[in-house]
Amino acid sequence: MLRGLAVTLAVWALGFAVLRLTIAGPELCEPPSPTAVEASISAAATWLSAHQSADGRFLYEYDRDARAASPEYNEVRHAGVTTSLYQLAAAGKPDYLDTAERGLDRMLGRLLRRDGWAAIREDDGTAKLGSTALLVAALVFRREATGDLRYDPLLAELGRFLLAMQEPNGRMLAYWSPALGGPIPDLTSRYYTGEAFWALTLLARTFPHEREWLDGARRVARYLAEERDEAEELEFAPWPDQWAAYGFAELARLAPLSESEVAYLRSLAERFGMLVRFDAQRGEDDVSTLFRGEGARGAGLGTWVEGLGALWRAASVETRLADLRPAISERALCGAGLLVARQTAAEEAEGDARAVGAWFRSGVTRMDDQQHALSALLAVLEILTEAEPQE
Amino acid sequence: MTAYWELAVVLAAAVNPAAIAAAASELPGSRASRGQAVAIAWAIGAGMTAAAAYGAERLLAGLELSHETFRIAAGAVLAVTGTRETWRGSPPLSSVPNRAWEQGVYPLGLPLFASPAGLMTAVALAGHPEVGPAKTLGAALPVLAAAAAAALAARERHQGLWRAAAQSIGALAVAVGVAFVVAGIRSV
Repeated sequence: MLRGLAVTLAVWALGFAVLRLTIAGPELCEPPSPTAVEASISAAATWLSAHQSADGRFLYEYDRDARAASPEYNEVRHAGVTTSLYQLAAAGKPDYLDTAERGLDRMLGRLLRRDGWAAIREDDGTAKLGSTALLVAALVFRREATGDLRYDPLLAELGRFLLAMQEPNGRMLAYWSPALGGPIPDLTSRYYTGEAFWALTLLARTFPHEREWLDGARRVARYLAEERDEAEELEFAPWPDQWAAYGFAELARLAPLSESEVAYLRSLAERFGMLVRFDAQRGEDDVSTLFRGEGARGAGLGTWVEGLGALWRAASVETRLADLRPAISERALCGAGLLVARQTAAEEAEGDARAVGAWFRSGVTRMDDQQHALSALLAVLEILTEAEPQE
Repeated sequence: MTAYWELAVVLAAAVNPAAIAAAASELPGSRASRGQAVAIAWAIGAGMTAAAAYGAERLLAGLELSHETFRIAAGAVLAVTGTRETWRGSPPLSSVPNRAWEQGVYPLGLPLFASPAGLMTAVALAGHPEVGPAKTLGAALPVLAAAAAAALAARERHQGLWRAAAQSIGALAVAVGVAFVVAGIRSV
């Protein structure tokens, strides 16, 4: 009996070890304190601000091991970073408003105007839907942070570009071509559609009497919820689109959501939750990396937490999502804990000022790592603020 | 899956009373000694299942696992166990003792009445906020009682029937395991 029992227990122990090393690894995430989140946000914003060039460009990519910056740049990511700094200002933290303004000036210097619309021009003369959509978001948050209405006419021009890129079924075309004098047919982007959707909902919120923004947003909302993943052949639906989540968080406050849209948001919450849970199992030791891979980059984890933060807001007003709110909150706090823990602190930077406050993966950070982490932590701060008892 | 009958089906798939009966039919000894062995095994199975159900929350906290992620692991174990049972009908046993009380501990107690699949399923269900330990144990005890009845009734000449039933339940365990994995992945 003892031999059989010993063999049985040995097999159980072996099975447990295999599970522990693979799918049942510990989820290491401690919800951060509001103070830690605020410090992390400040460090990320400082990184963006400290390494900004005089022309408004941010430090695009930095290799800590080689101590070298990449010469590349991306205007869509520039718009995203600028938006995150205006989000910060709109959340009542105006310390980095000047940095955002310099980023905005760069975008305003690249405007392309045609037929009553305006868009951000790329070096080759094309216009990407994504950068223009994120400029809309930046300007809306700037308006909220400063009360300055001077860019309202520009917002309308930018919004008209978004609508010009929209097809009747809500699909958003990604590029406008000067050679064609219009959008490039059938070319979409997995990022830009959600960005444009969010921008349209922000316009609808800011200018509630101008129906075209809400109508345009509703068309994209339906397309995102019912068609996009299949039509654009995005594998493992739903594509974890935090921009779409941002948009639906706004739309839920403006108009009732359809059943398919609610179902889509539930599936998005499940996807973001799973991604955060799996990433929480990725430790920094060699064994964990061998069996579960390296932790996600700041931008990846940041977008998941941003998505959860946006869905938490949507669930605050949409009763059909209310049951998910505690789980979404728990998972967002878990992701935020990971972000705070993985940010490079001054004492870990070995005197490298370009490392402090950044999120590195394989020794490299890109500006959108800081952008998405910053926006994610802002969203979590809102959750923590609600959770904290008010004095 | 939170209704009582659903829990009972899931636990029946995990415990697989027919596989226990098929294994019990191979054990040496009289009818009386079988009864003694099954009683001991049932007590071990029920005790460990109760401990798994009521200790689920602490266990998950100790392992630093959310119940959603644990459900994926439980699903994987169910699927692997179910595949083996679908293939063989009952688990391979070695060094089977002759004394009844020893048979009650091994192999009837561990790993049959108290199996990795059964215990992990109990933890996964009890750790679910909408199920909890009492409901889990309430569904598990009748399943273990059914397994005990099957083990008492099993005779070597009916072993083929028990194996066929165990294979069917094994297929069900695979389906339940896959459902657990999908549900775990599709949880916030």
